[in-house]
Amino acid sequence: MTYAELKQQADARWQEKTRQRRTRVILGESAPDYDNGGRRMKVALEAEIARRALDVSLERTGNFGMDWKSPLVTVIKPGKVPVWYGPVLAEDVPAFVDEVIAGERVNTPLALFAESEVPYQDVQPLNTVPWFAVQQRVIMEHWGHLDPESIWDYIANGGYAPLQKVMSGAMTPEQVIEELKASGLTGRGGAYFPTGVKWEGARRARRNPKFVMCNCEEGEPAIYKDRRLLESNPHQLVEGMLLCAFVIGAHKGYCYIGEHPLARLRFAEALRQANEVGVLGKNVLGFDFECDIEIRHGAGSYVSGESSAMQASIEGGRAMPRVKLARSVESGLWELPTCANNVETLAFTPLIADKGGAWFAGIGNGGSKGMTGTKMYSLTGHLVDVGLVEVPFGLPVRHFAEELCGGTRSGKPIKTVIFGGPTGGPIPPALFDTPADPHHCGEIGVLAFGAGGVIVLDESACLVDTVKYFMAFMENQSCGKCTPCRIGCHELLVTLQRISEGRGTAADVLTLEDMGDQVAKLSICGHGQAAPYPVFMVIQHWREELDAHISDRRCPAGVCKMVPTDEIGQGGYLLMQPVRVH
Amino acid sequence: MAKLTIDGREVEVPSNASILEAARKLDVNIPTYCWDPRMKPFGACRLCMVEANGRLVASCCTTVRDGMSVLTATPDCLKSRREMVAYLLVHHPLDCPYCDKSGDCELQQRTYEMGIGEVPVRDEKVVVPVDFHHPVVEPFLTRCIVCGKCVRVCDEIRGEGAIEMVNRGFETVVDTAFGQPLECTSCGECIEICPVGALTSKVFKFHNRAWQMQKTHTTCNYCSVGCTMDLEHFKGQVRRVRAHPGYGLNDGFLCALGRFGYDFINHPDRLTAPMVRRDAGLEPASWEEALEVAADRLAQIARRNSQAIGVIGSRRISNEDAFVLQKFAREGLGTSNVDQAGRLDDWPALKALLDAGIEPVHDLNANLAKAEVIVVVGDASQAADIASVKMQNASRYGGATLIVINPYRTQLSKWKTIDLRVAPGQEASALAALAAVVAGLPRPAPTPAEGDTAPAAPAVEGTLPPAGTGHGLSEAAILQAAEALNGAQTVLFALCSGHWLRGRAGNVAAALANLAIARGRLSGLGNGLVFLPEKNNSMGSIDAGLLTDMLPGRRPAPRPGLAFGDLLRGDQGLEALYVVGENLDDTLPEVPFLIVQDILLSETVRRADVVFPASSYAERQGTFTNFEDRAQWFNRAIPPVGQSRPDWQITAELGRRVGQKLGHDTASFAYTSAAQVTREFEAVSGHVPAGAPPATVSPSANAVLPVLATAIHQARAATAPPSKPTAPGDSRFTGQVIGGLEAPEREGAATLRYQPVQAAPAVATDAEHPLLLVAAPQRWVSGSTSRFAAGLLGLYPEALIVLGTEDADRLGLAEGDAVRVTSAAGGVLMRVEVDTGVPGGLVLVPGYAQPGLAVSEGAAAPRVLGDGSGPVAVGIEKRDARTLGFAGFNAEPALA
Repeated sequence: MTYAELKQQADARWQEKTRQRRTRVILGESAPDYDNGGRRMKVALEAEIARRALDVSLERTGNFGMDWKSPLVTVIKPGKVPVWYGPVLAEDVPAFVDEVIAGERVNTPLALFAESEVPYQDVQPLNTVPWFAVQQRVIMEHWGHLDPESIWDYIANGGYAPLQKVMSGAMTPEQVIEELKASGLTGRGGAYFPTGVKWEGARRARRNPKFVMCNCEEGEPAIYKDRRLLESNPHQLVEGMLLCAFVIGAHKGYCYIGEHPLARLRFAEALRQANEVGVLGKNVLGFDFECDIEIRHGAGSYVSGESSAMQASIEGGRAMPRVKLARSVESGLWELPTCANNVETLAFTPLIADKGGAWFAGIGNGGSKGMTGTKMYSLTGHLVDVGLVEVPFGLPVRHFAEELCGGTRSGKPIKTVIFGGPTGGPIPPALFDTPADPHHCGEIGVLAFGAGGVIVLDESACLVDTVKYFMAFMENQSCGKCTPCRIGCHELLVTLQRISEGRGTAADVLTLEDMGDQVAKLSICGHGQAAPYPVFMVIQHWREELDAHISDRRCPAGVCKMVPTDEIGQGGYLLMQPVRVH
Repeated sequence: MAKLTIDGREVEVPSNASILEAARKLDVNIPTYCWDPRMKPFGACRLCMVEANGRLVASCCTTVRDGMSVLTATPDCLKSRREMVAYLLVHHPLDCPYCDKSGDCELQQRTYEMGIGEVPVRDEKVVVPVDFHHPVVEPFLTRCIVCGKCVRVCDEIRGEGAIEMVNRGFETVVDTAFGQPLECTSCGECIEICPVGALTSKVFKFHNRAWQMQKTHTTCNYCSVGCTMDLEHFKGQVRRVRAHPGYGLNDGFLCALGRFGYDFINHPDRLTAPMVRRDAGLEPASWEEALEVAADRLAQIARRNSQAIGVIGSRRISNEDAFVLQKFAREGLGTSNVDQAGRLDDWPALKALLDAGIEPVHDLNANLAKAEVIVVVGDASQAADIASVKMQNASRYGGATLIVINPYRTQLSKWKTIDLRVAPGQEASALAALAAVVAGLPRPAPTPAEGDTAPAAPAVEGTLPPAGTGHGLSEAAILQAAEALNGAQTVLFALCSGHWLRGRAGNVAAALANLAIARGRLSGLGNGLVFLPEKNNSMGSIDAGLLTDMLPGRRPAPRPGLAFGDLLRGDQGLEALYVVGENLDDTLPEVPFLIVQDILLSETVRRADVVFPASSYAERQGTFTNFEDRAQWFNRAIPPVGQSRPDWQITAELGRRVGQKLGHDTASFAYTSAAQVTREFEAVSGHVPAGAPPATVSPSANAVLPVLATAIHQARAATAPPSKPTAPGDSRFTGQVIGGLEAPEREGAATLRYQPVQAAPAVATDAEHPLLLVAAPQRWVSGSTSRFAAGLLGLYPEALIVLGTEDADRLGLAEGDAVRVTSAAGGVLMRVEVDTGVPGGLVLVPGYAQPGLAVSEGAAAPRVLGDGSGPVAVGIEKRDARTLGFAGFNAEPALA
């Protein structure tokens, strides 16, 4: 089908859906909703509605980001303002149906906000929620409103229009690349490489066939933005991959999805529908351009999120980073030109093609360093407002510790904010004014800013224990290929373990620094290169806490269990026999 | 090209070279563990760190840039290298006293060089209890440094992928899939390439310290590829075979035969003294006595009727041996009855190719690099492993399309392959059908390769024979192959000849030649025909004239005598037979006087009247000619075992004594060194200017040598540099290959002639014999010597009959079951191997391992197979395993 036909049909369906004369009840159906009892609630709600024989339209939507309030329910009475409720659990269903759906009550204790400019029947409007007020939603604009399992909802809300614009010739691939360059969009997977430059390289690559590779491995603890995108609006990625394929001249796309079951299902459904209506396949949007997208499932290995390891995995091999003699836009999958992008990056590209690079470059405050536009972050840890946010890139760290986190659950003050998960670095409160972007965070010692995972810890956390946990993750998830990462991470972990048990020595800190330095310098890929940096940050900013473990054999936070000492070494051990110091 | 400086010295290398390669060019020493010049860079060991433009990078996987400045020994580099070795030592067991690799170990060496006496951290040693349950490969993965070389050589080079890294992070180990027993071709490349003692050979384990052994550079004595390798030996005992990058055309790779097939050399069954049959049977005798007895009797018969003497040589003996042997027969005894087992397969195949005007290629590597399509007839992987691996990699990395013509699936079928599964024994008709289609399809004229001056359309005589039938291929499959052939600029054909083609080798070769001619151009790199005969010296023994109808230098003999089959018929009035290096087993007829010259105690030796113990290739010097017609030296590694002597010496001495008794001039047998024989062989086979008949061959031979006949030999004389063999006794190999020919001199302009192809009769099956049995090459069995090598016997202890899954399921047979195999000719008991690649209705036996003959070349009357290589209709029935008395090749065969 051509785009005009699709748009016409989608608009008709959207009209039909939004202008119903009955109450619409929209359930948030993403992984956090399900995890918090959303499935049971849905069953109970359906039963209750059936029991009462209510004429209600029960609909589905994706994630809204408010995971700490999920399962979320939106109730739209005909002609009224949509009001959001949460967490609505199975137990709440009878009363909820009674009061809100069947009845006329709006401001129940479960009411969260209303989608209006002013308070609606005493329910606060959305833009006065501090958590939402700092946000600027570009990718997440329609999340919570669209049905993620319907291509029509996406098209009705402007989807595939940018692709149509480019494919119809209203905008040439070169212009797309120019706009991307002007926008300053950088790779949101954690490397922050200019996307326009990458696409240009892939377009210029002379060999064929070319591939689009989308990275949705997301194996890092504390990060879940990409999988939410696939759960909430998967066609954004389909369109991004198609646009990339058309611009660089590829006819095959691979989307590598980690162990995210719902994301896989939703994306597979999106591909099925896209194939069905002719958005994918032999003639994309009716034009003479063929493109196919295939899902490759990761099996839960952190390092397979590394681009070259992912290529090895897609080719059917063991996910180990490969040494790169050429960039992957020249020699990637099967040694052919491959454009590898993160989910979030690809989702931005149609919007930039549509609205222009200048629009995107105008968002965010780190424009001079190429940190433009918005950035999605997933927040976890001791904070209250666990969930997904989209804020202007370069927002100071302080905002993450204040508006966006909604305080800590224990009420204790915040000790640190960690960007980039186990490879990032704990930022102490003294540095909370640093803009949260790779450039500025790099200046204070956070080598790997990461893809957008944020961990907020309060005073109950022990930083030695935290970096030990991080190192355990890095050691366990190393692919084992290169010596510094395989053995270095293990020894760093053993040393941290010793310190956290109260068996450490001053020499162990030197070992951490020296060995960490070697591991960071000598490892093949970002995994080992970044692994020691959290340790460095702790040595730099929490030296007293570290020393307390060593000299006082005490954990100030009360987390680490001290064990009786048996032998204490000094570093520098003979090959055959350990040195014993009396 | 890029210019850069390394430690202040300027070097120019191709712009895609790595810093490490540039440094090696300058002989700058950068240590490595995971790097191998033959494989893709891996970058895991991080030992090769250098400072390039001020940044610390791994030199193996960093491409050079123009103007780059590289420093290899800055404090940072040295520290990081030292750290990396130290990290490995933290968990390494340091069990050097008990490690095979000690003295040869790269970890030990680096630790020593860098003087690392302590490690930065203390941690437990970790034991990795992985076992491969394999007859020759024994892992000690506690020692593993995870350089990944074994895994990569298995996948990247061998294409097997039998081992892989499993687990993650610190627990990463090398293992088989799901811990199953290792199943592979057992090439042992993983053992060879391991920089530490993590993978060891069970054959070599605890036999010798690495530093005690001496190395001798030599040529493998198994198949016709002729791999270059080192024999490592200690006190007259060969302990190990190794090869290193840059060795020969194999580039240091070997197969299981070459690597593990060496311990026949010091086997207890080696013949150590001459023997003479007396009343009590064969008894040890002195050389003088044995030679006198033999010479006396031979002279006696020769005086009466020299044609009553037969001489049977071997394709395994060296050029010198073969040359002296035929010279002794023709000149010394005056008989033309001199032949070899190659008469049955290799020679008819080569003759058909030469008759068609096709000279096989002389440089496989260069041709494979240019070939777009490679047509392989036969199971190259089992028959000529290293050549097959090269073809496979030409497909994997060079993008060549393989077309495999074989009745069952071969290892080459794994790649970009068009598999033509012909009906058993119908290769010729399949090739004929393919040729007919190829000739009928339109095709663009191939553009000549660079430097190829031959005319685009060479003159072709004759007409293409009509297409064959009965080949069992679909029209679509033939059309697909034909289109691939016609669409390619360059096509390389390969023919694996050997015992599995007995009875039809000439026909198959003729059909392949016709296909090559029909396809067009045969000149230029990438076009041509690779002839892979069976044995190490198949080509050399033909060149040396060890055929009754051929004189040295591939010149036809005017009056041929009895051929191989006739010599064994027993009704030709033979009074004496002189058998050299061949086990004829039960095909040997009763002859009044039998002289056997061999290295091992074979069935033939047991029947001899006089036995001469010969030295194996490890004990002397000489040349083997490989499939590329390249004569390559093998060198003396150890002193002769017992009183054994080189074959040529024994034959020459016999020649001298017979000549004296007959009153001839014996000067032509007065050789003092192998090199002297080599030179004579070279001269006779074409290394002298054309026209001068070599003086060393006297008119008493059965023909005066004609003027050198063929263009190839004239070209050879014109281009080949005078060869300088190494001095005899010098165990150091000079690296010089004698008689090596360069590719361009192949005569593209020679007239090509279509050859007639006889249709192979279809073999009928019946209810009692519903299956078709054919002989097949087996990678771990190569006739006699392989039966005396412990490593190979461990891999393949007894002959197995190979069934496809379909037939095995139908007959209710599983791997290892005992069966009785019967044909019209007889029956035997065997064990079953099930192979998914064998189609229904077909069963295979390794040609040399048929129980009951279980031996060597010349075994022309197998009890089941009849007198050829099949196909033969057989029946298979399950038997109780206890009835299977056959316990291995060296045991007495069980007859059903």
